[in-house]
Amino acid sequence: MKKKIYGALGVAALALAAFLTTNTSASNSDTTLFSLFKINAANAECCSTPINNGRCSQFTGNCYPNPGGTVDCDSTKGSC
Amino acid sequence: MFLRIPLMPHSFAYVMILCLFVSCSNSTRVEMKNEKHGSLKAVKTLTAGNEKKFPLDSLSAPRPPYIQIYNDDSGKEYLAMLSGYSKNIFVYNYDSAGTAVNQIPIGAIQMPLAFHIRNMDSIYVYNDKMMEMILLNNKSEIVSKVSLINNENMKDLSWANRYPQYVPHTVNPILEHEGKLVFPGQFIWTLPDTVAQNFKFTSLIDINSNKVNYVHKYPYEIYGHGYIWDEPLFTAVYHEAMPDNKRIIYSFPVSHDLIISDLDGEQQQRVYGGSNEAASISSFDAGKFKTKSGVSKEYIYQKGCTSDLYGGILYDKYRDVYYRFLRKALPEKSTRLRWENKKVAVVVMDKDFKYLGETEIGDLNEFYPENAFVTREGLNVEYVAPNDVDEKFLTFKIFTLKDI
Repeated sequence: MKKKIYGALGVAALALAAFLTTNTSASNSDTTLFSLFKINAANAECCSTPINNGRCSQFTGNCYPNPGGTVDCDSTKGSC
Repeated sequence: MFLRIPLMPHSFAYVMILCLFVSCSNSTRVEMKNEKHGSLKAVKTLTAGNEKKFPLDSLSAPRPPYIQIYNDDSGKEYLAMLSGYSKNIFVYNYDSAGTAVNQIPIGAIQMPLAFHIRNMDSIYVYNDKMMEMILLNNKSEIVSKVSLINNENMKDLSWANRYPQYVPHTVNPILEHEGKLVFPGQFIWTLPDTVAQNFKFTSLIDINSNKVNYVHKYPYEIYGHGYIWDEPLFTAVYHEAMPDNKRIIYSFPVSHDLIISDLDGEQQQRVYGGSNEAASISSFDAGKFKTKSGVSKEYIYQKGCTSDLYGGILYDKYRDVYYRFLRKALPEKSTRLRWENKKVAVVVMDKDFKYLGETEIGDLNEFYPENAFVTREGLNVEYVAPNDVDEKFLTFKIFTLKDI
């Protein structure tokens, strides 16, 4: 029984991982796509870390704090 | 019970009306009409003349983050360029445009985005990592640091609602006025209504005392009321000192008008400074989103591409005119929108902001209007040949004014 639970958990974990990977890759592909159109390519790159406390500006490619709003990147600048 | 049943539809109706009202309030947007569209007469045009090419080292690329044009005591003109990759400021003789004549190492600055050379022993560099202005001496040693967020804890992001952030560009330089550095900042995302009423975007840094004062608010009728401009492209603030050196002229990307502000006060004056061809510019349509935070990247990108957006404003002291950049809207029905396909135009106005003409100089594939400045030769705009893979030169096309 325990094995089944572990098995189910394993499947769930795999599914979650696959889901997250798909989501991440989708978001990355967006970022890559939009990074092609960035206004200023110098030193600008949004990155995602466990800290994620900012929102990525797609036209500048920088991550800016967004207090109280959505977050998708790390605005601590230079930590990734 | 008999009474309650008939009341139910009424209550429901009241709720529906209320919801509709709230929904309508949230979906309001503002539209900036170009009152002089199609009615302005051009008498001047800009023509491309000479080109200036400055050799780059192997670590530097075109479209550098920041450039300053300055004169030394003898009046010799220099072009100083920030190389973010090698963390140096390269100084070129502007006239001869040969190899760099000086190199200022700024390795001590974690994330340099802008600088202001007063002289070789007094170089201010903006460190974006810590939101501070750092003063370096002639040995590139740190002399002082000034926090631009009043030393608040950066991890507590509430400072972002009270202090400007900086997206520096050459066309939007750090100015010097009566012992103060004038550093234009901005709010990054949509301004909440309460923030819009009080937020000040320009930092005045006292060179002697290191005290920082913040001045000048966004025009409320454009950025207030919770109108959605959810990307720094739309909330950018471009400035230029007026010839009297007492007032600042502001160019907002979404406004055909310009705002004149006293440097030492909050007095604002509005003047028309638009293009003959720019159409109405409207804020985001909140009705298309369930919540304000739900604006999609695609919508923002499309909005950026299909809107006429003004850029930097420069005063030409040699010709007594203003240049205002415009990144022209792409047709909404384009099959594939690309920011780089936007045409770049320059609107020319006299010293009283009377329209003199406008010229389309090319598109964003080849021109980078964020790196533009004025010299005796004319208006310099960075040019990057679309097929330039060697990246050996920093190139400027120089535009001069001609009568039509």
